[in-house]
Amino acid sequence: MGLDVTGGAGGVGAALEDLSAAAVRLAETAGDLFEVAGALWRAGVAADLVTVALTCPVDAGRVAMELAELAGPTGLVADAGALVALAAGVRSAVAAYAAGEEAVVVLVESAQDAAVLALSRHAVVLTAGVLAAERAGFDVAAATDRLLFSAPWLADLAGGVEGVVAGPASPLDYEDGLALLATAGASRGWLTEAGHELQVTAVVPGGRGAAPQSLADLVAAQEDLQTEGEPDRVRVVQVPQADGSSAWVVVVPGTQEWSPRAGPNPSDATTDVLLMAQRDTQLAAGVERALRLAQQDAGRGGLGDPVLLAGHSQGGIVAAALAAEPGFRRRQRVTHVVASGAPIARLPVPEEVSVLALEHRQDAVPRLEGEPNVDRRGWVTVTRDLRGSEVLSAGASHASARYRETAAQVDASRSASVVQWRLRAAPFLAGDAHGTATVRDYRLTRAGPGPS
Amino acid sequence: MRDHPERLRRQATDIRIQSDRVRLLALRVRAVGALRWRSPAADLYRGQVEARARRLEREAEAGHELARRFDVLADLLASAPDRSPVS
Repeated sequence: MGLDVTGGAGGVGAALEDLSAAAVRLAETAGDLFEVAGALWRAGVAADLVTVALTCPVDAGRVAMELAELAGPTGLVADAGALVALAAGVRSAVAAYAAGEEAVVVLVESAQDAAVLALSRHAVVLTAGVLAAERAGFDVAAATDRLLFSAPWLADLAGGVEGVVAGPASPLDYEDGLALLATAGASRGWLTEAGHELQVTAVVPGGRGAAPQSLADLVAAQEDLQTEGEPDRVRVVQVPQADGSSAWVVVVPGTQEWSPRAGPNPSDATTDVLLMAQRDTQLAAGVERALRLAQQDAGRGGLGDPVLLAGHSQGGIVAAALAAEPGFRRRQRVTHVVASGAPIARLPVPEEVSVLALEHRQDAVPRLEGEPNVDRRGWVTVTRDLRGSEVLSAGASHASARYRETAAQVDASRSASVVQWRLRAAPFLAGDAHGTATVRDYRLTRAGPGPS
Repeated sequence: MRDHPERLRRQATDIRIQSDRVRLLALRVRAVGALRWRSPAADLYRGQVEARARRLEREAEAGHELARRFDVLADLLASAPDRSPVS
């Protein structure tokens, strides 16, 4: 099906964790074997075989020899030694793998910073070239879109944004680079939410308004939330559980407005930059408020129900950013994040939150932070290669509808990591199995004059 | 010397307990080989772990055999005339 699954229960990270635990168990077992060998020796001494040999010399001699073979240096002691050696070998292999991974990450980050710095130093020449090409009737945007589809790794260079401001191997990181850009933009009224406040209003659910019962349903719900010309909605689904409690699914839409100046719709470029710089956003605060309103409406505020946060593109970033925020996790028991087409690798989502990331190899957006998602037991990344499909551009690769198709393929996947994820996420996808699920939509709107 | 058969039987029981312990340790070793990981390195690791577990199972069997010999020795001793010096 063209799906590449990394991380999760069947991933390398989980295998390394298992190996580390195995090394500990092997060493413990070796210790126990040494103890057993000692106990056998003591049994031999207590039996006083030398005295017994006076009466039954042949039999006592044979027993003494067998005891020495079993408990001696060629028997259990040798077994214990072999287990210690095996444990040490496993530990060394795990350490070597981790060190190798770290070295590759440092190398890639340095290369990204250098490449972006080089491009920025030639920005005037590049801009002039683009303008000349546009004047000559060449569609630069479309050509770039096709180029990114055929060479998706170019989008990884965005991970070197700090290289623009401080050069390669700078002490600044990706978030610092974006924060500096946001600060520079704010002086012109761009990329800032100052002067705005967010309003959250309950509205009649749009689209199908149904509770998701599969990953494909969950991704499709994002399409229900977008109405042309209106600020996006956030969806909160209350899923009844067999024990009478509820699980909560929150669906956040993707970017709608691309102007650098913040307007009424918080699903915009300003929120994108602030989220990636790991700064507070009104959108994330609004999503939390919508969830709280829904829980209060259901009489389940503050009960510690489990929460799954899902979103496409910017929605995925919001989901991961909220899950990464300790304050939010204190107020809501977020257990799952599902992000499609979202650059979330750098967001510090803790290990106790299970993450499923859907990415298309040719989609530039999930590559914008310039590094791959972590490979660990609780983080599954499914990457679909769109070559050979009807999709021919990076832009089309990012479409929510394409991710719905991918989600349907993941629903049918038998990968160990995906199967394990599906099992753990089952309470959120129970639909009406234990009572009628309730879908609530909220419109988030920025009000106020904006920056003065 | 008269209490030797009883003493040997007690040691046989101890040896059986220790042998069962080795059998459990063999199971524990085999369990650490049960990884989901699929790769040639993982196969090599699983092979080594399985070899260690099998060897421990053989040691456990040898321990039970040794305990049986202790019992035999105790029986022989019990049926033999007492040659211990009379005090």
